[in-house]
Amino acid sequence: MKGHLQEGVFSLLLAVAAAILCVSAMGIPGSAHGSIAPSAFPSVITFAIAVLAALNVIACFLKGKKADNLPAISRQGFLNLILFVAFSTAYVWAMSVAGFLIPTFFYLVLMPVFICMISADRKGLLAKPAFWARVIVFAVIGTGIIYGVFVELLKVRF
Amino acid sequence: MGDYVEALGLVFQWHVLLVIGGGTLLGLIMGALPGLTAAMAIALLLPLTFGMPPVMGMGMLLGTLCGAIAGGSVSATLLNIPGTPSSVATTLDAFPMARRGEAGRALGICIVSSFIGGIFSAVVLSLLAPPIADFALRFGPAEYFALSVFGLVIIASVSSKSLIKGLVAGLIGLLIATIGTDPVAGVQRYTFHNLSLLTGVNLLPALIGLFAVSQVLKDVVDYFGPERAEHSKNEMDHASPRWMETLRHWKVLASSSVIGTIVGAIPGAGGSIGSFLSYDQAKKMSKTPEKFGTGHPEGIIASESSNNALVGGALIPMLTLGIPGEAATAVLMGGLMIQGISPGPTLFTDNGSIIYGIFIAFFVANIFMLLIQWFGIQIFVKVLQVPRKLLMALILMFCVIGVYAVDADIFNVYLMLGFGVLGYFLNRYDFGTAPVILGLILGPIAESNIRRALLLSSGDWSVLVTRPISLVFLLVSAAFLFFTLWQNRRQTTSHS
Repeated sequence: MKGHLQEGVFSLLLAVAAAILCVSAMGIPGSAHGSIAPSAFPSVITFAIAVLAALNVIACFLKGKKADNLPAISRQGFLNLILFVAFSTAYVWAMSVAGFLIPTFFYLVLMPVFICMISADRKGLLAKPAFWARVIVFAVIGTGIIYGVFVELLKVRF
Repeated sequence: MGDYVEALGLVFQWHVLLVIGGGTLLGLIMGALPGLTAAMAIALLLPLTFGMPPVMGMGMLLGTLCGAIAGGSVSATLLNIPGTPSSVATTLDAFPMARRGEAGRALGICIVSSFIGGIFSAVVLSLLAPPIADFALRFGPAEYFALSVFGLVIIASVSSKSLIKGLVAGLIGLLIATIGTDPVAGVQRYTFHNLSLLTGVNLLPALIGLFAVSQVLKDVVDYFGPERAEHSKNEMDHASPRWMETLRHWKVLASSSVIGTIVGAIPGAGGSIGSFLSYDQAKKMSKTPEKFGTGHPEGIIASESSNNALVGGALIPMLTLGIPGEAATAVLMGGLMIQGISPGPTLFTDNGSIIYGIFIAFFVANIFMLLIQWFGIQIFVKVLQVPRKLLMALILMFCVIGVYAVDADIFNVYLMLGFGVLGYFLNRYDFGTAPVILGLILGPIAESNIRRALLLSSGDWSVLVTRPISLVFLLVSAAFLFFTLWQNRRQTTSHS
């Protein structure tokens, strides 16, 4: 999909989300008491977002016939994004369940591996023992530093 | 005077100085790394300021900002990649100079120019901020509402190539600001029965998500390029400050510092505009304009003194009116608010020692910036060789732990990831993330003040146009909107 079409789809999603929130805002209770009601501000804002985003959708599709300067996100790029967010969410969940140390260590080991896997020209690195040694040393030092600063110094409890 | 003496006592303690120096060092390192912006550097270090006294915390963040702006010159000089957007103009002459084998000389000029630009803007800040704050004390609710509209319109207009997209981004920020319990009626809005949202969206996950996580996601999506270290082949001679060589071009130094400070004080103008304006002005003033772009010292001096002068200029509207001019100061303002301090004119009357402490900390940060660059420039050159895959993993982990550390609420971490995804798409499609943060900061100010103004005027909307200061802000906002619309239209016509 071309860049401007992707932008159009994104704007359309924004417009739809804003329209839903606008309807939801109108149901916010509370009266004006000589000023404006609690629902007024969010209603106006969401309405404005919906209108402006819809205008941008039209602008994107009109622009389609002309030169498209916006680089599109590739299928691989989208996949990278989804995998990265899923991986990070899993780390956060693991941290909430198993505490700080073990998830963080594994995260710091697996993330460089993941980044190598999504990068076509660096997959070969995974076969080299030196790469793994460096990643493990990095994970141990990284976990240690963050543990020292946040858990020992700032007394954050997980 | 008493406030200044008290402020000196707040800053000149060994642990405060150590923290400001540490912030400056980290800012220099992050600024030197291409892709890590000044706003991201401050957002990443924000969690560390919790529990610190305000002057100490702000000193650290100011040091980070000064350091990040100055650090941008390292990769601009050695790799021809500006570390921060405000270093774009530096690449024009610093990189050609480095290619001639004079990288040390180029960095030496950058160090002195950055320092002088920063100190100049610190002096201007100290002299101009108190009278502006004094004037702003006359503002009532109507003026504050109009000022918030003005700030949002300006940043929405300039931060994106399209006015519509800038406005959408600003409105998204305003919308997020409405989440939580309504401040006047106590009604819940968009909380979806989630306890963590009752007090509204925490500023920190939004800041870190929009400025740091979105940047990491950009790297992940576009991660097909070579490692940075492969670019770094420039020979480095000894990089010590070139005082005499820089001061010889005192006219360029002075004019660029003035331009940088003025541009910084205009909300929305931004760093790259300031440094390009100064560069252009220096070229016009020069006896040898043909040498610009070939590794001419005057080009480096103009860009570097201007982009560091911009920091002090940008602090003027932020501290006196509560209007941050661009992304980095928006994050800085968020840091101040997280400390429980609301920027604005009352800050000068209620917390005089803190505000003067911030001024002094800004001077100190500039001095640290000079000293650390003087003695540690080789470290920043080495930083450019850190593998990107390790850096990205570390940054994301730091974001997660930093956000969790604030109130041990895992919901905020998920929220941060959500903001990261939103920020990525907003940046990708050129909506911008700075207007979102500004909307988030100005939203509560705008809403509570319009409601207060209407309460005081018994629901009469004309209060917004019958008070002269409010009317001026609204007229300027409208004029700016129409001007941007006209400019967008003209650009579209010329393209077609």
